Amino acid sequence: MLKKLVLLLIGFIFLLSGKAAAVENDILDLGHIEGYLMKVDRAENSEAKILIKTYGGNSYEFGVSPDAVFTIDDIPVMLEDFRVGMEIFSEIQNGEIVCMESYSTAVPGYISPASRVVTGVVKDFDEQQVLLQLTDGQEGIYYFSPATIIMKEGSNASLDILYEGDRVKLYFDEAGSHEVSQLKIEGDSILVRELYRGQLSGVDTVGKTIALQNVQVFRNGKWQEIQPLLQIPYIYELSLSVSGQKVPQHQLRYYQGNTVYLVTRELLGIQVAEKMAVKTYYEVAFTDEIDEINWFSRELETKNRVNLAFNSGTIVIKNGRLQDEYSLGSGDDAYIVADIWGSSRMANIVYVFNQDVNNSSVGEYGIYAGRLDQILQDRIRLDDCFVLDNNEWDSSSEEKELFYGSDTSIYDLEEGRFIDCREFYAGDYAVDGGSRWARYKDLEDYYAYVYANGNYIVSMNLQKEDIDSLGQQRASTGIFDSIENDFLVGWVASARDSCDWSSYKEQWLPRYDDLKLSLENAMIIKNNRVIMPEDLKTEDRFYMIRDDYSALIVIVK
Amino acid sequence: MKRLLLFIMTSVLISASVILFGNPAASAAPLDFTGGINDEYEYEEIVFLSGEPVKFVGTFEISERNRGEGKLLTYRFKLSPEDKNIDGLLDRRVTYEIIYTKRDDKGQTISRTELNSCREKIYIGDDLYSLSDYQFSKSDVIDNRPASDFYSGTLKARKYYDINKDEGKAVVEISGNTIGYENFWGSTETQLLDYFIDVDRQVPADEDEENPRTVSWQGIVKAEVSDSMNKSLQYSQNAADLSSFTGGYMRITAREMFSRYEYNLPQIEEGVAEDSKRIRGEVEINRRLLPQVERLVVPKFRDIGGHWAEEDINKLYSLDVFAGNSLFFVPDVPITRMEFTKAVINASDIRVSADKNGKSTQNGSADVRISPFVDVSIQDPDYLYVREALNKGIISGVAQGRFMPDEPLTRAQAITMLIRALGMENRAPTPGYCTSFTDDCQIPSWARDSIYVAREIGLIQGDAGNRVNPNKEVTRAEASSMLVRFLNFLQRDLQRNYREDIIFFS
Repeated sequence: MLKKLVLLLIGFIFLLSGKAAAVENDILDLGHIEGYLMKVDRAENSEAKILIKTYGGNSYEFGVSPDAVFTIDDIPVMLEDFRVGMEIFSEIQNGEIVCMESYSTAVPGYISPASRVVTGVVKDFDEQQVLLQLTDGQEGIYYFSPATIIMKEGSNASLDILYEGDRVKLYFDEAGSHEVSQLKIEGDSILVRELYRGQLSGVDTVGKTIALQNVQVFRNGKWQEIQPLLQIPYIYELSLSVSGQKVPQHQLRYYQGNTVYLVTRELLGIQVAEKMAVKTYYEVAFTDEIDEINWFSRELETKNRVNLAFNSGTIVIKNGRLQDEYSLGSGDDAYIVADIWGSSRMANIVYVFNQDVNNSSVGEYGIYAGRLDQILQDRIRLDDCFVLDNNEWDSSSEEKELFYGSDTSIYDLEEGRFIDCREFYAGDYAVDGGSRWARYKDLEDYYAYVYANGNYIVSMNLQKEDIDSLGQQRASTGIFDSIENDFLVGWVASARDSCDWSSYKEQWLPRYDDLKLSLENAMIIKNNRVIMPEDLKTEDRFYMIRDDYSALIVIVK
Repeated sequence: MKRLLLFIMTSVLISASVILFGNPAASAAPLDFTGGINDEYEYEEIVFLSGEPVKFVGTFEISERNRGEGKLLTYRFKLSPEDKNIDGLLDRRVTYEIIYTKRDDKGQTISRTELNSCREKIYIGDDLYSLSDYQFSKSDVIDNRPASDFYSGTLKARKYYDINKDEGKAVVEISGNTIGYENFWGSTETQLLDYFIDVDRQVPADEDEENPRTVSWQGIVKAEVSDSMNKSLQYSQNAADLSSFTGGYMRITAREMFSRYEYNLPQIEEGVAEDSKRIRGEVEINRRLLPQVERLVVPKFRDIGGHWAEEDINKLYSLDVFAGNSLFFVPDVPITRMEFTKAVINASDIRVSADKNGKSTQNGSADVRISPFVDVSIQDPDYLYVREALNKGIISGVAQGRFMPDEPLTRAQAITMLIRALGMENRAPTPGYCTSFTDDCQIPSWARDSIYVAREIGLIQGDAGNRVNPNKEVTRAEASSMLVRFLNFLQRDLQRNYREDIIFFS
C-alpha cells in the first residue's frame, strides 16, 4: 500500500515537472517571452541573469547574450536601465535573451511648453495665420489661436502692431504642431537707420568694414552731403546687388570706385550695413505712386507711366523695414532710384512713404473727432462726427456711438489732466452750448479727438475749442530727431524724413525740411497704449494728425 | 639671501598667474557684473549712483590664477568720466574665486563663484562713494557636450556704499542670469542684470534751513551685456597670377562686446530727487577687438573643380578636417563610417592622442589597450578617434560589438553623430512621435531623436519630396556639406541665438 502511495506520489511529481518542462520548452520553441521583469542579476553582461514572470504566472530565469539588444520605447538602452516590475518582451535564442524591449513613456510625443522655436521674417499675415521666411531660406505657414500670446520688447502686445518685414520667434507647445502658442516680435533693431549713397573706396573683408567717400544720406526726401569719408561695418550676411541682381558678397571688392547705395540699421550699439546696391551706368531718381504691378514679368508702372523692372536684389524699404519685393503694392508712394540699361530700367531702390493708422489689415483702429453730444455710463455719442479716412477727415458719419470703460484714457485739455470714467460721466462734458441752461450755467460744448479700436475708445482728448479747423489739419509721418521739454513752451519735438498727405494729389509727399512740433496737447499712442511725451524716444517713427505746429494725435509706429 | 627669497617668491607668483588684456581668442565673458565692456585697449561702464548715467572709461587688468579645483579671477579698473566736464574717478579691484565641481557621471560641471576680496571708490563731482560691503553669490551649471559646452547661471549680489563717509548710504541690489556656450569655433556669454538702487543721503541745507536735508530716491537699471567670440572661414584670392595656388582660406577670430543699459531714475534738481518726475532712457555701448587672422593650408585637389561641394570640401581640407595627401578627393563615392567619425572629431576640435602609458590624454581613465570593437584594432592608426568618439558618446557602434569602420555611412548615422556631438539628442519629444519627413517610417528607431532635433535646429532639410532618406549612403561631397553646416551652426547659429535673439527679443 505504502509502495503504491510512494509510486503515485513520484508519478505525480514527474507529471508536474514534465508539464513545467513542457511550458519552458514551449517558450524556447516560440523564441520569445512576455511578462514582468522580476529580477536582474546585474553582473557582467555575459553572466547576467534575468528572472521573468509570464502573464500566466510562471517564472523563468534566462542568461543574457553578450550581444543582446535592449530598448525602452524603441530607444537603445543598457540592461541597467530596466527596472523590476516593467512589462517586457524578450526574444530567446539558445536559452539566452538576445533582445529585450519595454515601454515606459507616460505621455508620448510630449515637449515642454514653448520649447520648440521657429525664427523667421514675416512675409504675410492675417488674424489667422502668418507666412514666415525661415532662416534656412524655406517658407512656413503657422496658425494663431485665441490663446496665442504676443510679446514685443518684454510686454504683452496684440497682433495689430506686427508689420510685414518684422523678425519674429514663434513658440510651440506640441511637437509637429503649427499652432503658435507664443509670438515674440523683434524690437526696434529691425528698423532701417539710414540710406546712404557714396563711392565705394575700400573693403576690409577681415574686419568686415567698407569705406565710402563723398557720402550722402537720404534725409528729408533728398540726398544731403554728410561727410567726405565714412567707414562702416557690414553684417555677415550682407546682401549685395548690381542692377537688381544679387551677387556673392566676395565680389564686393570688384565694385570699388562705383557709386553704391547702402541700407544700415542699428545692431548691438553700432550702425551696420545690411544691404547694398551698386549703381552701374546711368540712373534716374524720382518720386511717384506705383500704379500697377505685373508680378509675372516683375515690372511696375507708376502713375506717371514710367515702367520699371524689379527683382529680389531691389532694395525695398517700407514701414521703416527692409522688405522683399512682394511687399510692394499699387498705391504705394515711393522714392525710386533705377539703373538705366538701354531702353530698360531696373529699380535699385524703392523707398515707400506710405503709413496709415493701422499697420496691417489686422488692425481696426480709427480716429474720430466730433462734439460730445451725449455721455452714458459706458458710451458716448458724437455729433458732427468726422472720421479719418485715407488720411483725411471725412464727415460722412454725422453721428457716432462709441464705447468707453475703465481702461479708456481720457484727458481734459482744458484742465491739463487725466480724468477717470466716473468724473467724465458726472462732469459737464456733454451740454448743448446753445441751450438756456448751458448759458445760465456758463457751460460750453466739449469736442473730442478719439482713438478707438473698433467701437471701443482707447483714448480721447477733450477740449472746448471748436474743431472747425479740421480742414487745415494734416496727416504726417516721420522720425523723431529730438524731443525736449522746453522751459517756455513745454514739450517740443523735431522730426526728420517727414511726409505730408496731399489731399489734392492723394499722395504722400516728402517734406524737404525738419518738422517742428509742439506735443503739449498731443494724444500720444505707442503699442496701443497712451504714453507721455517723456516716454518718446528719438528714432521713434510716427503717424500723426497735426494742426500746423501743434501735434494732436501721434501714433508711434 | 632675503632679497633672493623675495625674488624667487615674486617670480613664482608671477608665473602662476596669467595677466590678460582682452585676448580676442580667449573665452568670451564680460568682465565683472557691472554691464561694462572692453576691447584690448580700454574698458567702459555706466555708473548710476549719482542719480544720472555717467560713463566711465579707462584701463583694466585681468589676472587669472589656478587654485585647486578652481581659479582666482582678479579685475582691476581705473576709470574716469568720459565727459571731461565731470570730475570723477573709479578705482575698483575685485577678486572672485570660482570653484568647479565636476560631475563626470552626468557630463556636467557645477561652478560656484564667491567673492574673495573687493575694494572700490567712486568719485563723482564732490561726492565719494566708497564700498563698505559686497555680498555676492553666483552659481552656474555647465553641460559638457563633445562639441560644445553650454552653461547657464544665476547671481545675486548686494553692494553697500558710504557716501562721503557719513553723509548717507547707497545700496545696490543686483540680480541676474548668465547664459553662454563655449566651443572651439566660438563662445558667447550674455548677462541679463537688474540693479535696484536705493539711496538715502543728506544734502546741505538751504539758506533758510538749519539742518541738512535727508534725500532718498530709488532707481532701476537693467543691463544686457554680451561678449561674443567667433571664428569664421574666409577665402582670400591670390593677388598674383603666376603663383602655385590661386588662393586659400583664412580663419578669422573676431570678438565683439555690447552692452545696453535701460534706466528709470528720478529727476534730481539741486540735489533733491523729484520722484514724480522720472528720467527713462537707454545707453548702448559697443567695442570690437582687433580680428586675429590665421592662414590655412591650401587644398590642391584635381577632381573637385566645378563640383557643387567644391567650396565645402576646400574649407574642410584647409581645416585638416579631412586628412591625406592625395590629389584626388573623389567626392561622389560613399564616405566610410571611420572617415566621418574622424571628420566629426576634427571639426569639433576634440584632441586625441595617446600618452606613453597608452592612455588617452582626453580621458585619462580610458584604457586604450583594449579595443571596444572587435573590428577596430588598437594598431589601427585611427583607433584613437574611434575610442574618443565612443567615450564622448558620439558613436556607439553597430550590433555585436562591431564598429564596421569601412562600411558606407548612411544619412541617419551621419545625422546621429552630429547631433550627439552637439549633445542635443535629448531635445527631442518623449518617445512615440513622428518626424515631419514623409519617409518617417524608414527612420531607424535609434536615429529618430537626432533626425527630429537636426531638423528643428536647421541642420538638415528634407529633399524636394520632404524626405530625409535616412538609409541612403552619404557621399564624401554630401558629408562635406553636412560638416560645413555643422561648423556654421557652431560658429554662427549659436552666436545669433545666445546674443541677438536674447537681446533683440527681450
